[in-house]
Amino acid sequence: MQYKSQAVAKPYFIAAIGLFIGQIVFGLVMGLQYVIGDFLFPMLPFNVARMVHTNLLIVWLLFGFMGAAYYMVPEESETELYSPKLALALFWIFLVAGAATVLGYLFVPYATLAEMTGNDLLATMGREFLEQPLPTKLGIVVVALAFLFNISMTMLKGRKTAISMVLLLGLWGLAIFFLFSFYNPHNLVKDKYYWWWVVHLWVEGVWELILGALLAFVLIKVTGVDREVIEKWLYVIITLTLVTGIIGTGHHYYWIGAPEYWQWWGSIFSALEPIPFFAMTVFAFNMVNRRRREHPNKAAVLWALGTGVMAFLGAGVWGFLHTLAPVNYYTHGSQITAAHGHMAFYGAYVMVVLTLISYAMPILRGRAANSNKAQVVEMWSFWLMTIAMVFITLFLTAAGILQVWLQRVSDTPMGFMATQDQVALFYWMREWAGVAFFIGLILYVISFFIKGESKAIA
Amino acid sequence: MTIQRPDPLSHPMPGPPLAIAAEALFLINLMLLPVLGFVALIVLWHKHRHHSDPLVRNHLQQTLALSLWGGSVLVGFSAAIMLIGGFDNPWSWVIGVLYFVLVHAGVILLGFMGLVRAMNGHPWRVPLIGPALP
Repeated sequence: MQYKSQAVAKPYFIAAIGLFIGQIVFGLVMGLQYVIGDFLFPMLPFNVARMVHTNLLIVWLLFGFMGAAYYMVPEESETELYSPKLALALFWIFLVAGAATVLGYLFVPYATLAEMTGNDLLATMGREFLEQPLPTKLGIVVVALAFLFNISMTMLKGRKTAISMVLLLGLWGLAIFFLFSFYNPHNLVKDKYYWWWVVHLWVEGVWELILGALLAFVLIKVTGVDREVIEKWLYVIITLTLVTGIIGTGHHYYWIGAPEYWQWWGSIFSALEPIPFFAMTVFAFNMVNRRRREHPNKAAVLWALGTGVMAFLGAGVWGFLHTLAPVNYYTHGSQITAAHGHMAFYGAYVMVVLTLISYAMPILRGRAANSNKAQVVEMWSFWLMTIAMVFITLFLTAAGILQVWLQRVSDTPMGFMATQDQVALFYWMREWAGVAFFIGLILYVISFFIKGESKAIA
Repeated sequence: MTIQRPDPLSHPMPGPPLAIAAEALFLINLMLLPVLGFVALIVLWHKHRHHSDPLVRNHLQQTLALSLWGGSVLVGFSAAIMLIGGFDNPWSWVIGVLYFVLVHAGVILLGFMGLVRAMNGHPWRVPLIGPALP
């Protein structure tokens, strides 16, 4: 590695992968609870397993983003990190706070947890994805601000590149929009309205900037294409992202009590949201197609290309599938949403973090790339996880279409639970696809421990 | 005739603009303006099918062939699934929607490959159904 302080990224990446494993284990448990309702009940109720599954996803991706920033920014800024010690201290604070929160979810009834953690002082709990107790939320803000201070100071003293500026914009946006998690009005419409400012403006706004910057960084490194060319693409991608994604928030406002004009605004702008993902795919393939060198880390190149394709399919195609208001009228909150959520998160954010880890980890361990043997196992893990995710998405989509028909379209509509029985076959298939995904993840972890003749530092 | 192309390492789109336009219209037909994009592609093909640059002819041919094949397979089988299964049958919708989404996305991905090849000034043949390269 070029700068000693980049080494602080390593514990972040290790923690990210550890929490990723936890997320998938809880996903598998929930998958079984869909078909065996009392599995692990009352020890682990479905609502708790779901909360842990989604919260772990968010936390490990944040670890991944932070690790990626600590790795990238010194290299982009051509200077050591402002404070490696602060970065390491924040790592432990965030890890301990995250672990304590998950233990709280698992071992304390949620209402008691709310009572114990001061939710009566400022009520912020009880909302999907933002279930964290108040001290955890405050901790996230403190960690995020200290992290941004560290990254911003590093950039201020060094070179400023378009890639690092886009990354910083995304990271600041992430922190700023999280502040809306503290706003919890009594009016349910307003509550939902601003809740989406965290959830939607994260994943379909500022996180896409982070995604674009990470992808651009890796593509410069593995292809050798001129920075100017890659930066021009990045500008186009982030413009498309913000133009479509911000007003695209309206696709969440169709049925929550917001004004009706959102059905038009939301439909039109979110129908355009696949375009930045489309541009990202063309961008990744374009750069790899015209590369000036064969980078020894073929696994990282594969992850980068996969990110483009899977983000387009998951976020773009599966998003469009149910985003128009007249379609969403029937599909809202069905398993079609779950199908979209799974593939979009995997394609856009899981894969880009794994791209960065795949590129940076060998360098952090003193080599340009892992041995061929290790890379072959890693590429197997890529295909296993990716194909498994395609099947998870297809089975959930099938379940969703059948659910919508039986529950909402049929002349003799069925109740929710009766419908769930009818789609159980798809849930079983989804569970087996989930097992295949987990095996892929285990292979990914194993690939880190496979020895062999590694490639020298590039 | 030797055709000069810009340096692919420093130019954002070194391929011939007409080849890029053909691939872009193919994708516009699939993603933004169905039918209109196809009509524009036919006009472009008709006007430039004898173009002196073989790369332009190549991409015009491939996009037209894939539009015709892809469109037929996409619309034809989807209609058949719905008509044979019946609109009142939930399984027609399950299979029909999955079929449409998968084939549509697949054809878009083929379009991606073509667009990337056109942008970089490379020839492209759609696997199986594309006309053979000269």
